[in-house]
Amino acid sequence: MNNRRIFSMDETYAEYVRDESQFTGEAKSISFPRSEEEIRSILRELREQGIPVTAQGGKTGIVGSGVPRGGHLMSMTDFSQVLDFSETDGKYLLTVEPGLRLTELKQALARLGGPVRLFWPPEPTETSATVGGVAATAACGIGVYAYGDTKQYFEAARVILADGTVREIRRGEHFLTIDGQRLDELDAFLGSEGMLGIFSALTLRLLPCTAEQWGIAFFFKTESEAWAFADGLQGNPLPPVAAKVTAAEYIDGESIRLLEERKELLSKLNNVPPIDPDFDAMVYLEIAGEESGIESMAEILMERALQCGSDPDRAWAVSGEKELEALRTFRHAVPETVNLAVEENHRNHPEITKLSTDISFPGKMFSQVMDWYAECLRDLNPAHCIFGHIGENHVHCNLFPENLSEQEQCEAWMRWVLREARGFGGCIARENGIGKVKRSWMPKDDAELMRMHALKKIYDPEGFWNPGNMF
Amino acid sequence: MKIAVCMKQVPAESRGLMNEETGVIVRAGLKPEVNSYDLSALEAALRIRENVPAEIHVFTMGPPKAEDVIRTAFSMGADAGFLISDPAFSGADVLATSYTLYRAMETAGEYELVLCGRQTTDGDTAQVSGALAQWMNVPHANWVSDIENVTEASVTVAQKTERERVRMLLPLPCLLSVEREGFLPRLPSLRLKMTAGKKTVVSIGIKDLSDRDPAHYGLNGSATRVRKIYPPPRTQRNPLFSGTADACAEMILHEVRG
Repeated sequence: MNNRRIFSMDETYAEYVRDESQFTGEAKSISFPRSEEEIRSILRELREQGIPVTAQGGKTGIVGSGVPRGGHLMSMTDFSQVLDFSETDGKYLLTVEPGLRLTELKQALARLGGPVRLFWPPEPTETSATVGGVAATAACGIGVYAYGDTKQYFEAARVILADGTVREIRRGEHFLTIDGQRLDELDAFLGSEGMLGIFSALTLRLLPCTAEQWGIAFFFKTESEAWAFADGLQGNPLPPVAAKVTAAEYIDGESIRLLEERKELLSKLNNVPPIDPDFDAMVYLEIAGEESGIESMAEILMERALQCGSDPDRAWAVSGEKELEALRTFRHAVPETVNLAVEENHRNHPEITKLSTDISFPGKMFSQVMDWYAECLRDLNPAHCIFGHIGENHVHCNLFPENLSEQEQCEAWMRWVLREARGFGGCIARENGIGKVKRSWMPKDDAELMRMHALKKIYDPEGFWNPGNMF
Repeated sequence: MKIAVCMKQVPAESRGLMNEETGVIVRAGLKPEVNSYDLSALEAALRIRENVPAEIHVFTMGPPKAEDVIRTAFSMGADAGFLISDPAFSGADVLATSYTLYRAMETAGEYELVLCGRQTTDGDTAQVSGALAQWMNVPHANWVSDIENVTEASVTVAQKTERERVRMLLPLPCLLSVEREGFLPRLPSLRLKMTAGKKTVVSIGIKDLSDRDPAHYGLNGSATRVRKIYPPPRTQRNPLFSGTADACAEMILHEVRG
């Protein structure tokens, strides 16, 4: 390699050919560009040699999107500056490089100062993920309940295409028609798992923080009680007067037990008390707004929880940034613990990978979806846990095979359940991506896959970017 | 039984800034939080009340916004809260702080048990509890990692020192300074948090104390003055010492002395 920024793969870089999915890949070379010019220089050399490129963020993905299958691996983690901030007529925009981690983004927002404190609504629970990774998967955070889809919080992107062209794409300026559907060009790139081009800058739309915020955790002795409470949140939503529910998360008993067993490994949970083993489910809510509005809303929720069998004396309630962070950390520790458990099994059996659904069921009641999962899981042996967003019933069912036979059984189940989910009205790849791990599970005629095929033909017909993802 | 718990509001972070004239930490612009060690003290009190009938009173000394500490304590289960606040109390060192707490607690009656956190995360002296016990003329134990039993007349505690675990029986009234480990604080309960904002906080100023001489309080009543607060100098050196304990101690001493 002539380019001094391209390094041959050796043991030093072994950690870069794997992500949280436990899918392991390989690459011939690796780079850590720090500027758009460096990226283009590296790409020029690789294109001349016909070497495809896999772009990688924080290695927090759970479907192997950023894990290379041959070719060159481009790690974006050194490309992490905050570039620009602007405010025009109450619209707050922050432009950043894609390697900026979410923890660093939060610190950058705190440093902005000014009369209005700002936040970025997506805020996925995996805080070591990069902004580029969030853009590549359109990952949601717990704020999806109130703030909706992640894509709307990207205002613009600079994208480097396979031929080296740099495109500046702004929301609302250019549209495509794919399969008869009109698509904002920016949205074509968001969620495309790096298969159409690589981001060299992303402009985020920020929102002002609310005056106050509470976090409340309700505990239930049975899962059905928690489901009934969640049904109430959906069927009889609280009107947003002076405050609104901004997050609604469900965590089942297996997830809680998994977390309690491994708490010692996660020092950031040192300040969270143990959960009574009698509890079989919890619902975590956040309420934001004026204090009086929050208190009124909390009172209604407390009453509803009581009617569903939850004891408000044992519910946790916190306010203030640090205290809220403790509960958010707890919520995030659930998938982190799942990943730890998968990693443990993977060490004993390298064929074991992360197996998690990523399905939303808009328009259904929460208990309907949970009953559906219970029926689907009835004859499956390996252990499982379920947690996720109550909004749109977007929960993740994680399976824990312990040997090759169980891994194969679970993979077959995944292929089957995605088809069943479509029949039940589900959107089967919502925020984690498809990557290499899930591509064999996806129905070939999935509408999203068909759309990606069409986009790939437009932007990267030679398959230069992230080969092996999705299809 | 009446239990008093001393709790303090501290900055969530310290930038090591000091008022050069008074030697007092600059807190303006820093987000406040409840001293984490004091949350453990409150937790210890709450666990005692789960086993014996008790009333828990929280005392906090600070500016008016320190009332948030009391509200947090209410949301965890404290029964009464006292905010000790007066410009005359400002800038107090260990001596003046402990004296102020002593006089303030006097106004609320007698307590069988006083609980403190081991130290604060801003001053870090870990001495206020012992000084308060001295003023109150009660026995006290530091580094309490477990409260095994409480009766009408005594309390049995476990004390964790560097090399051993000590079990002690102290007569009541007494003062205990507790370690964080062993008393992981509960999170506030929703029902209690809902009512915390409505409960009365009793304010105590210098005029409410039996000793109203301002020379005994705040900066005026302090026997010590902070000369400098600064972060330790950072160094790129990361020497690794190996050998016997005595040999390593010599090497460390040599390294520190430069």
